[in-house]
Amino acid sequence: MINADRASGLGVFVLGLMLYFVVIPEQIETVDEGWMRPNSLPNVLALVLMGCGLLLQLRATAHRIENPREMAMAALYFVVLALGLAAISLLGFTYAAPILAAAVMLLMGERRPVWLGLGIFGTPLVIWLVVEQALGRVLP
Amino acid sequence: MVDFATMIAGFSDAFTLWNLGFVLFGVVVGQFVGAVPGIGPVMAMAIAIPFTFGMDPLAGIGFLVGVNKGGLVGGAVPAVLMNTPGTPDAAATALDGYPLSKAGKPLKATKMALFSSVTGDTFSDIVLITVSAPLAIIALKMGPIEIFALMIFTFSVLSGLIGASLIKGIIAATLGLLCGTVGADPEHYTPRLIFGQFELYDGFPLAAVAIGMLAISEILRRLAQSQGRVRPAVDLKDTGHAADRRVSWAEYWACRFTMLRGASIGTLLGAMPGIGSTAAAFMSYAATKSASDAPESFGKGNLQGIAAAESANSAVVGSNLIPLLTLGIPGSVGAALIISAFMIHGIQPGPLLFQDQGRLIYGLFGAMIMANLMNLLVGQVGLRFWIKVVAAPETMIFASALLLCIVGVSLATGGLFGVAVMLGFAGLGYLMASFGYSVVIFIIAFFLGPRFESSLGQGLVLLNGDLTGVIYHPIAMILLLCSAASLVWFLRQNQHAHED
Amino acid sequence: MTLRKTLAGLVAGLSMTLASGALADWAPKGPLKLQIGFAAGGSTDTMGRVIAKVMKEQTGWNVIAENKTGGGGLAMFTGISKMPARGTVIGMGVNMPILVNLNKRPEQVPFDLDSFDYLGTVARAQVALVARADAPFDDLAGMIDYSKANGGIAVSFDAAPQKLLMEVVNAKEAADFRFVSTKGEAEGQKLILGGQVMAGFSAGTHVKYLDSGDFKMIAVGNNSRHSYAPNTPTINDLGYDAYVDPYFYFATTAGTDPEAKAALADALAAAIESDEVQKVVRNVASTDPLNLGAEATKAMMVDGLQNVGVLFGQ
Repeated sequence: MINADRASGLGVFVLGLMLYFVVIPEQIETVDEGWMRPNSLPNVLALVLMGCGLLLQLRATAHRIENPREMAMAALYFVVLALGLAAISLLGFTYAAPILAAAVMLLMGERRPVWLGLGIFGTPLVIWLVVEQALGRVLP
Repeated sequence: MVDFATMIAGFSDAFTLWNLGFVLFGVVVGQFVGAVPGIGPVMAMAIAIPFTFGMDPLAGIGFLVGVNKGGLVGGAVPAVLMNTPGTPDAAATALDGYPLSKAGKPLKATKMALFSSVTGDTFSDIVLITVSAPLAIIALKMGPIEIFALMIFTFSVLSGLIGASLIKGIIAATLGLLCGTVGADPEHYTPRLIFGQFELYDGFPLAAVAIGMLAISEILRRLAQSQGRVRPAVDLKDTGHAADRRVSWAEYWACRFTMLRGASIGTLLGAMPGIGSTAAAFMSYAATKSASDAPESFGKGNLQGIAAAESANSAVVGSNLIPLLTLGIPGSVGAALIISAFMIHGIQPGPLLFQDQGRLIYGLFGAMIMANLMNLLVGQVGLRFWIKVVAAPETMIFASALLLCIVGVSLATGGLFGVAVMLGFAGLGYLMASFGYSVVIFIIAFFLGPRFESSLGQGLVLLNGDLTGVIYHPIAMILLLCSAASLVWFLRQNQHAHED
Repeated sequence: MTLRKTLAGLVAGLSMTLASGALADWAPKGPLKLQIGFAAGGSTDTMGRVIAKVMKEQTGWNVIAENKTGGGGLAMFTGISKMPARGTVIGMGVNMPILVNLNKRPEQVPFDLDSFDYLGTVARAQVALVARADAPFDDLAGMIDYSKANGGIAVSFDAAPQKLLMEVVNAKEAADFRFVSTKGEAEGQKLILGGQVMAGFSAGTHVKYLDSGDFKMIAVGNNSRHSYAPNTPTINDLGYDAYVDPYFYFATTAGTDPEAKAALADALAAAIESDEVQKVVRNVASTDPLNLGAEATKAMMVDGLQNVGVLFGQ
């Protein structure tokens, strides 16, 4: 298997490269006066990233990814959260929050109706009461 | 200066039942919002400010001070109990607080956090009340060049936190600084790296980054580990020993030097606007670790680690009021909100404040001391409550925490854009942790980055581009020499620790 | 959801009956957001939050103040320009950052002056060039001479137009001023007090240091003199053809129903006239409140864009 440090070091090197040659020239305006220009610090940082990415190839530690299965699960939950966020922007928090809570709890293996009910309806209700009623703010 | 009679009159104003009631109410609110992920005392203060208009100034400001101080104690709760700090300064508390909780001693861990927080806070309040004027003069001497040197010194001390690989530590710091450059540049105000998103003009929202990187990424990890087994969020194995539920006087006393060092670091950094409680907490932690006879016991539930972090980050809040009350310059958002409350009442914080409003200021000092005492009392009850809460099943706790973080960040940043940023940084935080990059170093660099760049830019203008001019700035020179020394010391110690 | 609607309806109905009735029939559907383009704790924020509170009391509408930071109001106004024009949001910002961006990079700003309906102003910021009381000069001419004689002095600023203003002076006199950018006027004041810069700009909160004798005022950055310092000339008075006039102003999405627009402008005007807001503005901005009204606010923005063009044309 590839060494985790070499892999991430390569990623960091490529990131630095992209920043220096593509992203920074496109996303930062060129200003020709002053000691510190808008792109001075970002350029230095991009160079440091490139250098460190390369150095890490030579001085890689024995760091290993502990549990690839766990990373896959985390990615799954990440997608659930992203979908939940999309649902909130489409439906509003009041409708989407119970769905998101239900998805997370079921996925985690919760099956007891009382806890499911509390998590799916109780928490959003309390949030709604506190934010909209007590504080007078608007939920997303 | 203020005469003695005015001082006494001010102090006694603070002790009326009416004013004490507001301080107590503030402390309760502060501890609660501080502990709930995603809300935090700053938002509670911002909401409360217009309502202080109708109140007597001392009651209104006492309430805000109570919220601010209560938030310090509350903020440590999720960090210690669940390893999900809501603010970066509490991340330092989590380093040892969470392992101790996991070892079945959550009450001991949170109590240590409470006691050291109140100790650090009281220390800096006493400094504020007694010697704020000379400290303010020192703060004025700290111009951009000195601040830049101070930041270098901060980074050098923080190198004590770098783990096995120096290179990976530098990468984490560089990524943090890079994320800190997003938004308008400090000198020409041109937008940088915003990819057409005008919401990013002021940079990534701090609350979204901190909560995403620290709390959500940890929740993601815990969700991924749950794998269908239903457990309580915190496993409160009662060890049966009463000693594991309290902090004995001997244990507290053993941390006296740690807390004194933490409170001193916090007070000094707090008096200088712009460095902040995060750097203070981690500097104190790193210094304590390196001064310890057993540095390897840190990160595994050492009470000294909790005491170092909490005494320092709490001390910042009191001393943030030093530049505010003496010069009218706020050192943090919380302090800026207190200025706002002063100004609503027609009181201008600044050079004339003590002369014009001596009685009010001493009333405020009285309220601060009372708020510390109340923090201690309310905390004793509150901590037990939170430990009961986190004993609920983790499915319930994490689902609720996720919803609260979403709502809190969207309220704090004014919309779902901030929530999307939070989610993005949660993913980044998870990846960085999985690949063995320090999330904490990233966060510190991110928070200090903008200040680092602006003080470098200001310093270069003042020196007219000639870096050798630094030799005419003795304070900066001393700080730079100290940085070099501590860098060598920490790196050698670090190497030593990893060779064993 | 139905519960929420019923409750909201109940609350709205109740508050409608309780409202003073002075403000016509129109009311926002749902809460009215007063978005503030600056961070919590600053002077804009302080004024905005009190205005929102007074509006809520006077109209019975659910007025909510929230901070939308980014680019000195640019992010907030971008959001408002893209919203449907329902009269449920008011933006509060400062004109200068908006005008500077519209002038400097119009192709990148996703709105123009016509993207908004203007509702009024609350005050004009009092921009002053100040120095520490023991500075070796008392007026702009003296400051220029001192700078020339000493190889240039450092001047702090916290908004691009202030720097441009001094560059007009630099261009004419070869004064050799160097510019130190600060985040907020408090940081600039610290640099002046600490002696790191010789002079700097402030926008209202310097008055306390004038009263305490720590600062002296060198010149006014606005187009007219300040009431608290009638003898200090404007930079314009001194023969440099430029000024900065930052207004705190309110606007909503263009195309808002005229009735709604009028109701919003009236509600703002009524709030600004209240004793509470008058007092807070005086405390925070060191000046009397000034509401130009809807029409004149638009004219102020159009003229302002031209003036900014002059500043950048140098």
